[in-house]
Amino acid sequence: MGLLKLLTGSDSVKFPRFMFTGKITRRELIQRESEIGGHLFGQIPIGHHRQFFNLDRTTWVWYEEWRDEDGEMQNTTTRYEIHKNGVLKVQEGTPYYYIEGQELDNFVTATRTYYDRVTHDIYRRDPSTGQPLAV
Amino acid sequence: MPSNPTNTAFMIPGNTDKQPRQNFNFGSNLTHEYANLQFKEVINNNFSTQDESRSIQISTQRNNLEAIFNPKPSAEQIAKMMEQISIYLTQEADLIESYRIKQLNGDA
Repeated sequence: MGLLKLLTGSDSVKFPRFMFTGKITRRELIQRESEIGGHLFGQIPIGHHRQFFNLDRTTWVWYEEWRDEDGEMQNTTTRYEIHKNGVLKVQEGTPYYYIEGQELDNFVTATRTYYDRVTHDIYRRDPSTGQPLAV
Repeated sequence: MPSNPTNTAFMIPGNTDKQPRQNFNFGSNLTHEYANLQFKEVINNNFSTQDESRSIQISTQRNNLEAIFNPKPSAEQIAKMMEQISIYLTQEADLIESYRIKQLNGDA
């Protein structure tokens, strides 16, 4: 993934104000966040569906699904666990490890951009102050 | 030419026993040419050892310079940085959660 795209993200996910009129659940909020999160890394390949979201105070999730050459649906889930001594990357079928270097840098940048975007676009707050945006 | 037979310059390359190369015998059995050939080989081995020694020195000096210009954090410093990153990420998540709760409570 390009760092520039990671930094700039995409403007393709917008949630109009009227979407918040009904009773909403926490799950739905996270679903909306995940759509924004999925676009933080630039253009999603055609046929792919990507979500990146904050699950709770110590867990971030990257989920991606796509159709392979045989038409079968494939998916992968990567969990990033925040521990006191680092960020543990947990992926099925691969050894767990604490991310470092560029990968850690990219991850922190992604979470920061995620915070800025969901705070502004979903919760209509100023990411710097946390205060509601002036209507 | 080194006189000490245990000098590493006399080690036969690839000899795992690290047996010293036999000293030259300039006696009658060796022709002058053959002796000269062996002498050159030893000189070359000697230079190789010197080169290797210089390479190790330069490599060490280069590492020292890198440590000066681009110091690597100690394990303790890395642990501290990781802790800071962890605190930052947790606080960020706490803020997001607080916005969720406000939204759910309708006091956004």
